[in-house]
Amino acid sequence: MRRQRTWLYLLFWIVVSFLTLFPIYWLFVISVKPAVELFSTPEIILSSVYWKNYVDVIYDETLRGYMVNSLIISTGNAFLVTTLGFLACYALSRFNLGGKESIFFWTITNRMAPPAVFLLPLFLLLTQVYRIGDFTLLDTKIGMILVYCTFNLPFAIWTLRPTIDGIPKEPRRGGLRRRGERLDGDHRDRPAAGAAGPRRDADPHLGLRLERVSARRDADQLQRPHADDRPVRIRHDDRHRMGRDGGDLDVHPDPGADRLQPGSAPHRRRPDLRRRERMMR
Amino acid sequence: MSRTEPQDIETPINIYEEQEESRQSPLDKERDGFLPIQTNWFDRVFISVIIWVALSLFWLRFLEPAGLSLNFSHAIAVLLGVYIVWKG
Amino acid sequence: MQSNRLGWILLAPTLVILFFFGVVPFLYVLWLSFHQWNPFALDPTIVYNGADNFRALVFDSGFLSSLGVTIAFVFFAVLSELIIGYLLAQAFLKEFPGKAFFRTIHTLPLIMAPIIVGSIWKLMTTPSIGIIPSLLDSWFGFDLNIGTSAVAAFTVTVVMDVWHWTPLVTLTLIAALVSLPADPFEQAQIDGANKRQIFWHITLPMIAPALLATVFIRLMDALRTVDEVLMLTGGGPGSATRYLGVHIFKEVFPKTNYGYGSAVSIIVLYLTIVSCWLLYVALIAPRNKKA
Repeated sequence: MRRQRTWLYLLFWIVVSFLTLFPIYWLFVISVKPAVELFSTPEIILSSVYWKNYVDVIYDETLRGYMVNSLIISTGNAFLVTTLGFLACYALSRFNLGGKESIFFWTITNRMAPPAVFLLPLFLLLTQVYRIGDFTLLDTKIGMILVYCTFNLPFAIWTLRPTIDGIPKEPRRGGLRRRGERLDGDHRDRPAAGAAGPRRDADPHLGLRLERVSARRDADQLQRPHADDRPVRIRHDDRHRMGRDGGDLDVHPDPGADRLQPGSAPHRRRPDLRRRERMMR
Repeated sequence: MSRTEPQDIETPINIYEEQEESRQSPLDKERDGFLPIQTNWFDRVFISVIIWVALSLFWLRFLEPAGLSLNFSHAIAVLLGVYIVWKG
Repeated sequence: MQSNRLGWILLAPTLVILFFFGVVPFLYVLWLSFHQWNPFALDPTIVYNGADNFRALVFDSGFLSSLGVTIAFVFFAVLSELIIGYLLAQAFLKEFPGKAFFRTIHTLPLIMAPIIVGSIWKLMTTPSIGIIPSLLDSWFGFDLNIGTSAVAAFTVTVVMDVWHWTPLVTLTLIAALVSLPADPFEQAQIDGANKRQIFWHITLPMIAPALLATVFIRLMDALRTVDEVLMLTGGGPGSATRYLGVHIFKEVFPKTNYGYGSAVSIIVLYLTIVSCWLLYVALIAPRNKKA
């Protein structure tokens, strides 16, 4: 049964691939026909191959120049778009910038413009406005690359952003972590302050070496409560003063969060994390 | 510093809620307008402009040949726009 | 707030490029759309003529008919791309030998330039040279002639667009479907939901953001298709495939009527933005309706 299904999938994909490839195959068939034969009855199967067309193309000086132009412009554009798009997506996804969703929507509106009419303003701008002394962007490759960016950057940003949003912002269970670093809620027996024993300051690698923590051990440590467990001190714990959601922790929704007693249920300490209730409402 | 709390891992995060929250500028906190969706001031200006363009085109096609000047349409659109931005 | 400054710095180059090559030309076109300008006419100066361009536009039967066929084209093309793309993406989630190979083949059309796609399809469908009309004739006795039949020309442009852009939809949807967590599906199965319920209530809402981004991109690209169609049919026969992009192209360059062309493109831009925005509101808004 299972075997039969695999064959069905294979057959299905062979048919789809055939449909996908056929136009490309036909382009090839036409490319190896002499011009006279083009108007005879079309045949699917190639009977004779005529390579002269390719030879002509390769020995054509002007065409070679055009190819180099295309190559430079497209690689330059791809490089620029990927770099800038990644930086922009990173900024949009990790920072709490005011009005960033509006900016995100605005970027895509740049791609909506019909290109035919925008050729003229771009031409005029490149020749007359965007010039420094005698240098203009007209007829330069960098000018073309920048113009293409207008259409391709929004595309890159829109396709990259969900991916970057999906990468977790902080190490969760398992994975690499700075040596000696603990996740909060890491309840391994830790030496009391002042007690002898390895301390983090004494780490010869200055806390820079990474160690692999197995997910199992990690989860185990997260689950066991400990007598030392203090209420979450938000202000002093967080080096960047930024919370998980990118919010400024100085404006904590519950000003009394610091004063809760040890042992109170975790969700009482951080009422802003009580999402489940809000969702139910 | 990494901070992962156990209850945090299990609580589902409502992405849409977060997205919508991040769209709100500090200018407008909790609003209750007549528009059926949650909007910030930019959204409402945007809606007004869209309505203005649509109304102008409609006016040019159907009402201007009947003798009504285009300025009426602008006046209506501006009034409507002010109302939307203010109350929407 | 220091870290926010870093965010703005990262965003700055993108904003600068988009401003100088996106916003400034747009403002220029907007300004031009309220002017009469024909640089090769007797009077090549730019004259302000108020809303005359738009006035001419709403009575221009050529423009209105091209608007109609564009909307039909976008509707058929984008809808079939979404359906086929989704089915193919689902099929790619199954395990079968040579999956990576087939996926590579499936992405090939994406890397082709639109003008080349247009010429390929022209070579395939032109009555005397093309293979498709000859096969259809010999197998079914069906006469496909994109030079004379409006329906045939329209259908071929839609099929061409589907061939070219379905892989994009498939790729985005594969990425979205793969990243879905398994729990909700298992829970739904335990609760006894059937396949259709799972699709409507779990899969669809969860892939909605990716779907939305794809539809946006496809919608706006389809609305401004020029090179493929210009190459394949040149807007003919008659005005059957004279989509808005082609209309602008044929209006602006031979007649050098830049003011009018600007007005048309402003309207196209307006339509695109409005349809995308409506879609955005319709897909995202129901979730945070005010209580």
